[in-house]
Amino acid sequence: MAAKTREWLLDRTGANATGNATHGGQRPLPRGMGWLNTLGPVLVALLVFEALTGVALAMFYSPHPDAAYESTRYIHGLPMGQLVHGLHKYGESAVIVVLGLHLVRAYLQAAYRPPRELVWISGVILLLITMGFGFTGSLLPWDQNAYNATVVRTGYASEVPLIGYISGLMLRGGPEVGALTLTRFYAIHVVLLPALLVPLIIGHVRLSWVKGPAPEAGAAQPSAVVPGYHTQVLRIALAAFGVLVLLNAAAVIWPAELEFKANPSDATYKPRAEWYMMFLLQIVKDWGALPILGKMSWIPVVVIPGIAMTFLMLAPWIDRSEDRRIGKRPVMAAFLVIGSLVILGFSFRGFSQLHPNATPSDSLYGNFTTGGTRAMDEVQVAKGKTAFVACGGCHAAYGDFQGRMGPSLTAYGMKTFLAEVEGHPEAEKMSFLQRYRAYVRGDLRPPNSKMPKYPVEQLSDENLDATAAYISQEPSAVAKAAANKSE
Amino acid sequence: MADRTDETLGAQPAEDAPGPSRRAVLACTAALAGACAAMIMVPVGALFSAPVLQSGTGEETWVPVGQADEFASGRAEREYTFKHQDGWHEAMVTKRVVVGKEGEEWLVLSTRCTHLGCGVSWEPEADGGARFYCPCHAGVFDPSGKPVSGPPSRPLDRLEAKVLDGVLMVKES
Repeated sequence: MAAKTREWLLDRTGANATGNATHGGQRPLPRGMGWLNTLGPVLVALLVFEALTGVALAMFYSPHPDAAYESTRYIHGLPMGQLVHGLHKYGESAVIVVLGLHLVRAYLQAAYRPPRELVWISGVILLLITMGFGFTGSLLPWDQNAYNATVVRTGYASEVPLIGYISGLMLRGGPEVGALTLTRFYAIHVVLLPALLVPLIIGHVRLSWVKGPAPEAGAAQPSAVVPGYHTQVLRIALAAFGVLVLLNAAAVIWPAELEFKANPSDATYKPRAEWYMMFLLQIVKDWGALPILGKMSWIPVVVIPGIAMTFLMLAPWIDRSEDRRIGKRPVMAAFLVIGSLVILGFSFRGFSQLHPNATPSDSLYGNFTTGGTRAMDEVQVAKGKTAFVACGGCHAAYGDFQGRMGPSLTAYGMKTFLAEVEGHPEAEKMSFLQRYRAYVRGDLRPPNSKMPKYPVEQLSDENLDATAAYISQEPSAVAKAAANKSE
Repeated sequence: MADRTDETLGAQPAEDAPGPSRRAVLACTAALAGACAAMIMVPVGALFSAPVLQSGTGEETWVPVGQADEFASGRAEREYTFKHQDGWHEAMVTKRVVVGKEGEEWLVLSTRCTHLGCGVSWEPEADGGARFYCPCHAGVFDPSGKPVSGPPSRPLDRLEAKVLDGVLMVKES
């Protein structure tokens, strides 16, 4: 048994290979797989890209709750800083996409068959590491979405029976998401995961080189031998070039956004899942509460992906048939079809139900600060604070809003509040500020609105705008002003 | 990616290969690889070089040091604290200066040694007369800040100063 295992390991790791498979400059390539076989090298290029952009960002970033957001905002003001942030962020998405295609390609080819089991398994582990990068990296900007999404995600871990308490603490580094979570995620993101990733990548690439490319579906051996291999290298360069052009275009067209700074006391914010995790969130929404069993959101988030990953890891031993055609592998085909349908279907549902949160560039705050690029007019804010007393009977602006008649009118609460007027034919033609004025005066209201109508003479544009400025401040700015006063 | 090119491209040419010549294919590959490298290194390099690329945007501020009539004669050591923007970090920085007058001119001397930046101490009662002494390499400056002995070759930095409503102010960034 031991001798057999030893022999297996020696063979599969290529340790006993008598010279590698360069075949005198001629590499076998499966027929019609030239472009598909560029996915692996493109992934390596993307990961190098992530490493370099990551180092540049880490030079300015500081993982402290009082500094993470400020340092990220500072990066956005540096030469190409926002671009590099965008490239790094979209680069992670590109890695997920290309890795997904790479995995499906290998799966369809049954590339996990002997002698490539370890190539396959190291690939599945690399997928998990890549997701770990996304999970930890998304907290680092410490804005509303980063913070609230991490609260939700680490919350699932706490819900697992028996081990929930421990797994929650291990993930967060403390009872709540906070300073300890930030340093923990930072250490995992920039030290632990790269340390795991680099040797695994080297092993994965080295092994796939030694073992040669897997034959195409339906064949036993790669059918074509490419002389010199140089056309394949050209394909790889072209593919990497194309992906980088797309990444740059994305980072220029949709610059990396920074929302308001994380505000743990704000309960109105609804975080978004990463797009590649959207399907899990939607499964939780649709199936998180089961009859009799009650709330079990950890099943879709922890158990289902756990089973899927175990299945992938064990694929070389689950699928032992000789035929490489997917149609002749019913278990594997069923897993692929069901998996794809679940991911695509629930992702689609999730995206169609997205709700908006206010961002600095799309809110009253943006209106008063030219998209967050300058500070608010302090005189106007002070005036708005006085004028807000009239609204204060029903609404709270900052702080305690329990038991008031109307909703809390914080900066990002405004977006939900103004959603009522959206779709109104008159509102379409108005700016954000005009809609707000019209709403408060009593126009653009839905018939069931509880808010009284006020006479126009009480509500001059000047007073209304000052009130809007007051309630649109960043909560962190409000807290800072209060702290300065008490000193 | 790299090991594939290294190990394979140096092999014997494939004369029977159809399509464009090996040389043309390799030239295209090199051009594309260069373009890829540029797309990575231009933004990364720009952000990395931000300290150089950003022109000196340090806003100047005038910081009060003390009442002007306190410094009517001799030299006096003073500390002042001001808000300094250090990247994203708003820091409170405390500096120590020695203030005096040279005729009608204000003399506000920084206590950073001009050799390697150690803190120099003001020794008004030293044996050989008043002096600035740097403990790092035994640099000595005279009371007007000129280097006397030791490694420093440049006089102590002089801060710009002015009097506003009877208060002595110095310029800081």
